[in-house]
Amino acid sequence: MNESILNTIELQPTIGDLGTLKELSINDATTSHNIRRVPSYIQAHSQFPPPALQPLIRFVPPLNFALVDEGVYRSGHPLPINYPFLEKLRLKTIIYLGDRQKEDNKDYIEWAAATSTPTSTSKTPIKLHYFHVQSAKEPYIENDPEKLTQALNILLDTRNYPVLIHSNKGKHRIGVLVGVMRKMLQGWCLAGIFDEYAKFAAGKGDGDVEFIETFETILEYNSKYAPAWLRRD
Amino acid sequence: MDILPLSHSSSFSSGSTALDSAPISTPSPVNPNQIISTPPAVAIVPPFNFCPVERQLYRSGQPTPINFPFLRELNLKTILWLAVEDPSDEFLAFVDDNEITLNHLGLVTEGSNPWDQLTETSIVAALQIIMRSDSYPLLVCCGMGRHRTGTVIGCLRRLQGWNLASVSEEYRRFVGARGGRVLIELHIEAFDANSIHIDPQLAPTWFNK
Repeated sequence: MNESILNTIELQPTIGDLGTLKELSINDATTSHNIRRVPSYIQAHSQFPPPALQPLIRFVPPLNFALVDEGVYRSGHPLPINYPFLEKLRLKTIIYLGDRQKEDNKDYIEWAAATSTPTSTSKTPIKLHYFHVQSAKEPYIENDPEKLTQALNILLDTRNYPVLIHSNKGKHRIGVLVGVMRKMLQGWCLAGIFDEYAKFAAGKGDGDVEFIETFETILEYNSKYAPAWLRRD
Repeated sequence: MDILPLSHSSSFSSGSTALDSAPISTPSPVNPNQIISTPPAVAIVPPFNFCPVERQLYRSGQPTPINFPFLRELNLKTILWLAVEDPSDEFLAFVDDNEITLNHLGLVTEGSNPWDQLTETSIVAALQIIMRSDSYPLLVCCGMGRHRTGTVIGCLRRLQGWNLASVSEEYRRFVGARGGRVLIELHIEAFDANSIHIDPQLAPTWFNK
């Protein structure tokens, strides 16, 4: 068999992956999003060198992406360049704490609706919970305890897992949600919660940590579906 | 009446069954749900620079006795210790008591200094263990959980096919006010991901699913 055919065979799966990326970047041109094209070096790598020699940059996680605990991821607002990465997580649910008008991220909402998670019996689209909240700005805008309670109740049910929780930058609003989760559901000490908040917030947000400390709520869960990391005494 | 304060349950009960085991004279309530109105009575303290990396894979600085109740919740099987120095006696005792395997990977070359970078040999050895699901749950740590831990996690991200900007963003999240070291980012960038042998049967489920 000649060598060029061998190379073609090896490259096939990679070309498939990148095909998706390229398609997405073309679609971007028609949306209001910042247009992010696939960098040329990624495209170049799709031809040469073959994957056996150099691993490709295949995944671009969203801004401020991290695992919070088993089944729960946090990040900033995903962009089309992040979709292949997010599809790999096989998300069932997304919680968005944001203040965008729905027209602003129409393509994202459509992507979530079109991305399905294969379950044992069927395929279900990602369920996107869009909580309209503004970033807290002292002294005028405060965090919304009601929306946070709703979000925590979703996190208490593993039937929704895996879940991505995100805001626009993954700093403040999501930092508050993670903070109240650490406090109410896992019983972390406040110093540890504040330290984690600060790692992602990169300055600012004094009001947010105060909010986490004083936050009180009543949550309901079914122990049959509770996450393994839930701590009760 | 179906909302009992959590403090009524014994602090030794498993918690998830707090309401079931509480003395309720009326028949069991129709609502099967449990209520959370307060944080757990006893708080746990995560180690410095603690963060989950992937499912059952964690990173942190050196744990101290105040962190042991937190660590017990993770049911660790393996710890990768990347510092040149030995871990503290308390930490070693904890590791023994909980039958955890501790791999001291920091000191591979003789005469290494704490400020030297992690050697390529150490990085490869660490990643080979991380790529085996039978090591899990797994904690990667060094003295402060900044540069040595950051190097290994950064190289893991390269192995996962992450773009370098995201890898650096994650590394810098844990380096503290004095910032990241360019040499370490360079090391991560130059890391040859093909030097790691991955057995697909043994690799953790989150890896390249």
